Amino acid sequence: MQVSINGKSIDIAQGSDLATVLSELGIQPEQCATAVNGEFVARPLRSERILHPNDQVMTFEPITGG
Amino acid sequence: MQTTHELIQFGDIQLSSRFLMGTAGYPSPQVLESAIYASETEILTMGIKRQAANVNASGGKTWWDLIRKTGKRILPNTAGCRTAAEAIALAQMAREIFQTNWVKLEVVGDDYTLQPDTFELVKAAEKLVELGFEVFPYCTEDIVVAQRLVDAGCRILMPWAAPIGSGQGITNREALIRLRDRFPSVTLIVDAGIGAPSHAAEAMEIGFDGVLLNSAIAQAKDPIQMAIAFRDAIRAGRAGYLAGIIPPQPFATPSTPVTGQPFTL
Repeated sequence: MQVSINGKSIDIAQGSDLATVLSELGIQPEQCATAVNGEFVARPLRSERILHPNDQVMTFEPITGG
Repeated sequence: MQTTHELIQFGDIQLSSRFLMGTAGYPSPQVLESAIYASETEILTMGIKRQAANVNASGGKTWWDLIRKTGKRILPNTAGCRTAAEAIALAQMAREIFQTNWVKLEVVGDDYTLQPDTFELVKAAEKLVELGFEVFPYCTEDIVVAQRLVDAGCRILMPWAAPIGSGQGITNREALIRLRDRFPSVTLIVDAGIGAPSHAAEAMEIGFDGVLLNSAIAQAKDPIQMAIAFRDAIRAGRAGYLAGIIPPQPFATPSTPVTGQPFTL
């Protein structure tokens, strides 16, 4: 099934959870925060968050700011 | 007697520096690092952004590594948010990344002035306080909004001096003085619009507790010297406020104690 990761469509297996998908993409779990469809998913809950078709996953990192 | 070294309260934390410094737009990480130490700030603002589709292309790590090493407190912002829902989600992500419950709450409602959307701001503040955040709301000088934010549980308010990055200085002095008078026990920080050290000194002279600024230093010809200038201006303004500035009057009062005119009996 298709989901979007930071705006890019990818194919993942049905029933995949967020933690597994991030790991498969080589995203360091400790170095980012995540949201699915605009809702925050805390690090300990990523493995419980099953992704559905067309879910929009976003990962965030620190930047300088004012 | 109070001194310029008295502490400033940020929620449950007391710090000695009244200078909150932004970290964006510096010419290099080394210049930023030097400016941080020169400013003697204890609080640095940071943001978070969505990673690129190619995550490994990210270049923000160098800056974050450098900032982390300074050991300063981080005040993450919710820059770019337009709704309470976005700001609430971003604040939670920032808490996870930076390991702090502090958040500089920004919810912008107007593209031209980057003026806060105060309706969404209050909504977001209520929820974030409920979630255990120490909320530093970037707000306007509106007293009713300020009261709503305090009612929501904000112990710090950060009204703008002028639009973000404009460098105009304090454009609504009377309103900021009124805000100080009406909220004597709230920590008040002037945030945004400061361009010159004298602007920061003015904010402190009217009784504000601190100043947050970024562009005025980052975009200066010499950011390190400018950080020093702001550090000293903030201290001078605070000392002036504590010392008691004489009220202006529309007539002259001779300062030399002569008796009338020296040669006229």
